[in-house]
Amino acid sequence: MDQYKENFSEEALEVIAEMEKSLLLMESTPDDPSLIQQIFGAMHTLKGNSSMFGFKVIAEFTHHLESIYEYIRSGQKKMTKEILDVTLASLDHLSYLVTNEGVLDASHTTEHDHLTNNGVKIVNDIEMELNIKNANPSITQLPNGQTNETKNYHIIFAPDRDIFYNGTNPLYLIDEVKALGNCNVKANLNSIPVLQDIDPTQCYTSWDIYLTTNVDIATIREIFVFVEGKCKLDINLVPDSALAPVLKSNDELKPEIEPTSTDNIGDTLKTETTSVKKNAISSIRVPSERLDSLMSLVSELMTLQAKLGTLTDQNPQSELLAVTENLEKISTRLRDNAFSMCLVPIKNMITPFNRLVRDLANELHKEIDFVTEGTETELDKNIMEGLSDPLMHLLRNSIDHGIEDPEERIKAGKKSHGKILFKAYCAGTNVYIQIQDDGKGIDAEKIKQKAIQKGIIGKDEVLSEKEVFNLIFLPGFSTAEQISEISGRGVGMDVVKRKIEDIRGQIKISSQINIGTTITIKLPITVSIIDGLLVKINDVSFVIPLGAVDRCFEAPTVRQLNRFNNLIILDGEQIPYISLSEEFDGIENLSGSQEIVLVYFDEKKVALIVDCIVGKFQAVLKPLGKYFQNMDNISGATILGDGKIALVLDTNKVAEQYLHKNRNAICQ
Amino acid sequence: MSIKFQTQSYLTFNLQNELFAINVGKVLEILEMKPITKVPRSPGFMKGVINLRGNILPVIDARNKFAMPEAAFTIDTCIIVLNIDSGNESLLVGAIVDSVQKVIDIPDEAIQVSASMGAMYREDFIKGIGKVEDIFVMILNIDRVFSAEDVYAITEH
Repeated sequence: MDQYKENFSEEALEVIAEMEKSLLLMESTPDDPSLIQQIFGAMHTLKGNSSMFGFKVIAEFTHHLESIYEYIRSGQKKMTKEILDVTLASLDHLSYLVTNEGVLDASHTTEHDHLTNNGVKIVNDIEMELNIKNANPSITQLPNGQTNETKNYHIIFAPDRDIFYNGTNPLYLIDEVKALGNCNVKANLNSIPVLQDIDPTQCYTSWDIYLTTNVDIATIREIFVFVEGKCKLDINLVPDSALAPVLKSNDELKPEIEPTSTDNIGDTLKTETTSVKKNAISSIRVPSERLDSLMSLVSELMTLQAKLGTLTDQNPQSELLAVTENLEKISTRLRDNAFSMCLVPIKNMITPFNRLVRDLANELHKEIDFVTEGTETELDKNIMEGLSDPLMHLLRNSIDHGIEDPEERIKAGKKSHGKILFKAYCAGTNVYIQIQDDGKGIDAEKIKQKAIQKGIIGKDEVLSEKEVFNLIFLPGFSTAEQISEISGRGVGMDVVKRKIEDIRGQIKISSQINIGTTITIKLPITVSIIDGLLVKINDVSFVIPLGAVDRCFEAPTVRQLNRFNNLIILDGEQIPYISLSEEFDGIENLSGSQEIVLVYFDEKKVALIVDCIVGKFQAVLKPLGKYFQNMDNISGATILGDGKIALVLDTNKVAEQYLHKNRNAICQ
Repeated sequence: MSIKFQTQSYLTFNLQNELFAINVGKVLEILEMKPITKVPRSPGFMKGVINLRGNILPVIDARNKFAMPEAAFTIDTCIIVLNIDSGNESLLVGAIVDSVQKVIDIPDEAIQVSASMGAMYREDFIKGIGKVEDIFVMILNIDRVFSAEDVYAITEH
């Protein structure tokens, strides 16, 4: 059972996260019926699941929330900020309940009671409102759809075989029908096959329900709204007198099963199906070590496959050729799939940020628009996990210190709404994440004074702006004005920097007073596919990331090379060139033909001279490891189809090093 | 490694006619010499990288670590794949040695802490000296010899 509980809590947390996302979206589009439907559906699932696993506290708690959204869904109540606040707070509490299996400690009991009361209060308020609205007191006493007249219904409910896949427990629906009035339920077990043919994930049972109630057909139908189209549903009004004989004839036709025993069968079916009914959730969790080993296995497979290809070329037999070709197709697809599995789009980590901005802005009475850009950029999952805390902290800083109060903003001639832009993009072999605010900015002078005061820098030291901003990352550095309850309690900027460096990233600040602050984080993509240009330099293969490449040229004639200042004329432009064979091995390949790859370097271009260009190559970037930590010019290695290694060049660093070296040479 | 491998078995190998030993718990496998991809502008003793079943394995020339002259590779030249503890993580590294001998048992009692060897090799590289069948073997503190920090320090310059 523990395993089921684990499944439950994992699923419940996902449902809660989904809800949170929908709720935040709802803040901007409060009347979107599909969102309301989503939230309601999620709550319903949560309630059902938690009561099924015996978490009564959770089920009851969710029930109150569900009632609120029931009114919203039916259009009897408009979404308000108050409801949104209570729901969000309740979701936090729910995730606590789920993780602690419904057990409450002292502080959370108060929280629990408080939130429950809030929920109940909202429901009561809504009911009061509705009562006042409705002029006819006799009807208002009754919930929607209820009349005073008692009627008899015959309901035939035959769910489709695959109803469990949908996550529905038909028995809950029947329970809901039962709650409407006097009820007699008959399970029709005729279509259950012999034991060996039973698929435990299928529903073979249908039900005949005789209901005596005072609600109308629409209300009954509403119960089945979640399974609409997934079942055969017949609701007929039957006269009082007709009911008895029908019941009787049914008894004769079908073996009567007590409702309790039906429940038991249902329960067994239900427990068995919980693991199957995952299709409502579009993803599963896999420990990342398994992904890592999958990746290395796939790489091995690719190597083997390339070897097989070579062998086949040597012994060309038609049958062997066909097999090799098919294997190649499949393994390439397998590789692409495996690679994409390890990458997660950044938008997966955005929800808590949205929430943070919203809550903190409320708390500090600031008005902030949180805009995200490029969140489909993919990043290795491990990196993303290490990134969450530092980003939270940076956002908190932007909200607390960056964006000013609305009055202050207006005084400074800005819009009262502050804006925080969260931007992610991919460049070369790196992913960049930027947090940009249009707040008051950082006063470089203030930081400098503080550093002098603390003895970190000397009084007369001349620092560039970049160096000044880097002071912020020193341990123990914080300007007095910056400490507040919100940012002060968390980690300092030095910890942020350390955490970013732990995942081999870099962080940079730039800021202008009154215009805003931009924090840029540069991250490597450790496990990542990059499109590159495969080139040879002295018979060693190298990959130049295609993102950096501008154009390729045929081997130039010697005339075009200006040996004195290493400039080359391409398309009438003078461009500095670097002969990579000379740069890497100290010898220049003069005999063979050469080709030129024109790459971007900052805003300029640099020509790299290579021996030959082999072609385009999709490379899986693998880090060289700690032993080559300082080899900046190489960002990693990749394994070629034949099992050989090609090194991936960081063209920016190659050019930087080259220029640096030349400058030193001139100085000497 | 999660399970600390405590064993008295050692793998012996030659470097410039000297006999060295590594605890077998540190040795993952022994590879034949294969083409090594040189990493441009890396220090001389970093021979480069090889493809170890889809993983990138850095390869270090062990001779260089003991200030021995480089030698041409022979048919006996091997790469010993080692598991190095570096702070809180373990790293894989290949060490090029002249030839691999055999696995022998050296009981802890038979290992003397070296005092005089310090003059010839870096003291912290040698764990002790064992004597097997009248032959002395130098037992290496392999985590120190191939520590990544050392490489780091050298590349800084």
